[in-house]
Amino acid sequence: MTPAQTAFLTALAAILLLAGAFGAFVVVQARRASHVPASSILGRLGRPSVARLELHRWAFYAHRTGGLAILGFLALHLVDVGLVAVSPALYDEVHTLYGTPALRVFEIGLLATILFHAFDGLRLLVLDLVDVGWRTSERLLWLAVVLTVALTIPAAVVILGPVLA
Amino acid sequence: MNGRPARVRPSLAWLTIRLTAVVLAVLVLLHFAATHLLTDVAETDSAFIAARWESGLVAATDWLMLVCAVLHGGAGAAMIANDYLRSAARRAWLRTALVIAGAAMIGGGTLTLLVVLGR
Repeated sequence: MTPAQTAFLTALAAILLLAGAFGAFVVVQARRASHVPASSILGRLGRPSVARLELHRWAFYAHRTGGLAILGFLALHLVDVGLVAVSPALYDEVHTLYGTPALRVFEIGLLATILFHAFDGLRLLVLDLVDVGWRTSERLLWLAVVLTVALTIPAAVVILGPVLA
Repeated sequence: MNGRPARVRPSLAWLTIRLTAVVLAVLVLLHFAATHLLTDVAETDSAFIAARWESGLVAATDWLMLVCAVLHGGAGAAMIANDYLRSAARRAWLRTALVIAGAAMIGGGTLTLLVVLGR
């Protein structure tokens, strides 16, 4: 492991840890604001969908946490691509990490995060433009979840292909 | 929801997020597909980048994606800060920090592009 590679992995680990901590913070803040004790989450999930907007809450947590995580990765990605301007050899040295099995798993997670953020974001855009009501909004949310999973699985096979072979 | 909310003027951050979102939904997914699905990530080395940016269209599109992504993320982070920071002074500090960080990201990314294009 070269110093540049260690620096890259340390920064990536820090971003992931911060994103996780931020996610917990978002949930706690939202629960506090709505006076819902965290212990009742399962009870709320168990209710019929017409009686709750629980799914929308989780979409909000995922959208916000995922958004900040993507921004964190963007900052790191601009630095690692920026290395190509400093020295192509240095860029290649750090870039070999992207091909390792661990980073490929990270890339699958990154894709899932981006896909959900994109589809859920488009749903929010629709809600801003058209008053569709929350029932349709929940269907659109499920569509965003289904599309995210349906696209991530085949992409995961492609991304992991070279290391599984 | 009871009735319609009062009509409010959308904030600049709100508008920025939505305008850039449409561009990013297309460009970011194409970028990921190009660098992870159509090409294996292990092959996206410095030679790949140089070849990729030989096309002016790709270079221009990547620059547009950079600007949109930074504006989108910066505006999103500013909205998050407004939700959790109560004091106006702290919000102002964070907004200044975001503007500086955003300028550094766009400036750095642009510099990378120009250096590689100049080779």
